[in-house]
Amino acid sequence: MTAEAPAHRRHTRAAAAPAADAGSVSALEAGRIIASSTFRDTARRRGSWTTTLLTGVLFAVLIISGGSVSERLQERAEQISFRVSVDGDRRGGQRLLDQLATDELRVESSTDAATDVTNSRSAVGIRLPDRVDERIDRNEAVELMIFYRGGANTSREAYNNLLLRLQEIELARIDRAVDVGPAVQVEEQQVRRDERVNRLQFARILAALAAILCLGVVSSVAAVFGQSNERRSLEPLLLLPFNRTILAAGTTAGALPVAILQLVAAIALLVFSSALPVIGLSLSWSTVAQVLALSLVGVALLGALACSSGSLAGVMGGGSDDAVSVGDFFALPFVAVGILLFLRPAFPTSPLTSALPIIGPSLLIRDGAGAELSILNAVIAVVTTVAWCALLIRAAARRLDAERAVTRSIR
Amino acid sequence: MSRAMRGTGSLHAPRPDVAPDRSSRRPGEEHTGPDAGVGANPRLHAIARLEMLDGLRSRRQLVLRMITPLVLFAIVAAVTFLTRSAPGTRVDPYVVAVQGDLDGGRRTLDQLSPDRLRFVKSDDATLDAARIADVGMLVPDGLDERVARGQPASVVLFETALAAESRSAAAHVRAGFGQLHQNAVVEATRERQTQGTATLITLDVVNVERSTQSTQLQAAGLVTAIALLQAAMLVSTTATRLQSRHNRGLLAAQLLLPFERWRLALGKGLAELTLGIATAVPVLVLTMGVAAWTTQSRDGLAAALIAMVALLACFLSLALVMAAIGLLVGTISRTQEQVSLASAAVVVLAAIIASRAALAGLPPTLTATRFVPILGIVQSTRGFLLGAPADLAWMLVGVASTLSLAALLVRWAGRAFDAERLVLRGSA
Repeated sequence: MTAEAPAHRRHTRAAAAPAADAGSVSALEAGRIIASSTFRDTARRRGSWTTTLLTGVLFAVLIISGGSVSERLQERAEQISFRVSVDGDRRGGQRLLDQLATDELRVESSTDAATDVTNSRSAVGIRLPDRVDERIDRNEAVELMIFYRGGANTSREAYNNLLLRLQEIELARIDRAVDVGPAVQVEEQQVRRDERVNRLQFARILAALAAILCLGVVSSVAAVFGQSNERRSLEPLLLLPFNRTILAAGTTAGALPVAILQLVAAIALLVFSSALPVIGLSLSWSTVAQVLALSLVGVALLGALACSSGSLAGVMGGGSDDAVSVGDFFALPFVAVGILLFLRPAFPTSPLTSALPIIGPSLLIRDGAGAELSILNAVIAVVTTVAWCALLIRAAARRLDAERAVTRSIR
Repeated sequence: MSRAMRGTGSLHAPRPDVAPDRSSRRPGEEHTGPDAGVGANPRLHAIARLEMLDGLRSRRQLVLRMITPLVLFAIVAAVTFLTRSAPGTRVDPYVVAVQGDLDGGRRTLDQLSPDRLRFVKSDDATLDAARIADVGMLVPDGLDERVARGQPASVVLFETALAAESRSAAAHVRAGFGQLHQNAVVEATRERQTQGTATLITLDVVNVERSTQSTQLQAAGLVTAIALLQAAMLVSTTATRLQSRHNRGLLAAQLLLPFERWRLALGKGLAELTLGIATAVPVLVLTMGVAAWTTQSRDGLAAALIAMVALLACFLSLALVMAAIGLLVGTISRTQEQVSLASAAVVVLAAIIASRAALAGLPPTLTATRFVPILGIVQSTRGFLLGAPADLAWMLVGVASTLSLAALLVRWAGRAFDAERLVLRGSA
């Protein structure tokens, strides 16, 4: 091959550039060539696109079903009542039990209140001593044994309601004897159907789901590299006289647009589903558009990070199954962040947390979608995420280098 | 069948003179070559052995498959406890966002359960109730002065019905104001030397979750849930390995062999099942140990051994059906993304079953669910580990239904193989 032959020059768009032209190809051009090849290969697979949409549909269905369930639960929670099992001398404490019974507390007889509570048949249980009413009438102290499940929200709430009711009974009895100013009245209002609050809560869920969705991106990109190893399509690239970092960066860049688009498409489906009336979020379309627009930067950063992680996993793996196994392991931090944001939705945003990998972009999604974005934290998240991606690509490049040494018989 | 196949497990294509002519042999009929007298099992064994050897070759993959679930469970547990999100573990005060004259009510608010409530200033209590606080509160001007003068005063609490923390915080606030009033009444009673005890009712509170019975209850649900989730991971690993072998052209070579399609699918499934069980050993040992410990303390050593066997049987059944699902997914899917999607859907479904049937527990009177594959065996295993002997019979029902589903899925996967065979071999 000579540089003067026009037929060979027309093939410079292919990955295997003639050695005589290596010096005239800049690093950026080399990366672009590799990236375009990888991009065409990944974008051509229609199965990837349909799967992306189906993934978004799956999560949207979960959101919708969860939202519609929450809507019904919201109404039930406001009128929730708890079953109170009572054993012991029920006849001797009937007057107290009649006072305890309210719309929220349904008092029922039992042979063993502790077992009822343990087996979740009742939210809370009471064991009455003998002749409770008689002893109260004689102004004698009585001790009630209360059973509850500390790890169950319903049981704790039933216990709180029981305490409040006992407090009211005590106050009613004592109030008759003395003249004291009225207690502070407490009115409870439920926070619901407030668009600002709903947007905030949805933004938190969105950030957590975006982190978990990256699990698929990591596996997908790792599989791309793995399949390249199986088809031996990676080895010709290794023979090119390009810097190893360029090879790794170009291949990652080629997979990046598809990975980000997949993530964006899934997130967009989730955001649009939030506008459905059945879900009860009551977000207007203008709010939906704002949520989508402001969360896109964070989604793109997360996608880039997931793509870089997948690239490293793919390079480390032998075949596609090996690469996916490594990718699943590398995706665990994404799952951890998703779980963290589910369990601690109000996780604080600060320059430090914005600089952390995965957490920073996720918080950017949450704060952007929830209209609480801080420019400083956003810039920190962008800069540090790019740096983390560069580190991962560098690590993948080092891994590529070992194989180049073998294929090119370099000392 | 050649000696090489029996001795080493390697697979060689049969010689042309014994290769079955598809047109002369009815489907499912054994061929009449030199190995006809050996029967079909050696072929199944050969396929399974080949697949298993391919899987054992990658030790790193095996190690990753073994430690990934452990790391995942550890992450979930660590995040849950670090964020104090496990019910009943929260020890830090509930945050109350106060809108209004906070300074004018500071003295009163500081008396409301100071160890359990923390009041912060807010411009919008409704929004902050969802944003930075557990509950929001609107206080009137000069709350301290009003309380001191015995004048009426009211506050508004903004709580989120669906958030347990919000409801608990609201209860603490209400109890705090009630206690303030009660203290004032008790003080007035003492000043007037009114006869009788001010506070008559005292409470002895028992958290039943700290009892042995509750620990056994939670342990039984937890080990069953973990067994189900561990088995669910077989879907992804099985399907991904099938995809990999397909990409390497190994599946096409196997499809040219004169094996019944379902036998090919079954051999692959059994190999993946074996590998899956091997990689699940650490989790199995842990869960069986916990099950034995909780049962032994209640019913003795013999019952503990039976509980271990029951849990193992439960896991094997679940692993078999999950391997079958993975086999079908890996056969039908064309891309890794499709495998990931199907695997994610199965894991989500398994998580729902684990939370409802294993951790929370379905009503014992609900018998229709006992016949449902996967759900039935999970429900019955949990019940048996809790000491219900009748659930052993239900476990057998669950195993039967689950294995039936697995057989159907393997059959379906085999049919999918058959379509590709037709394309490759150009048969009518």
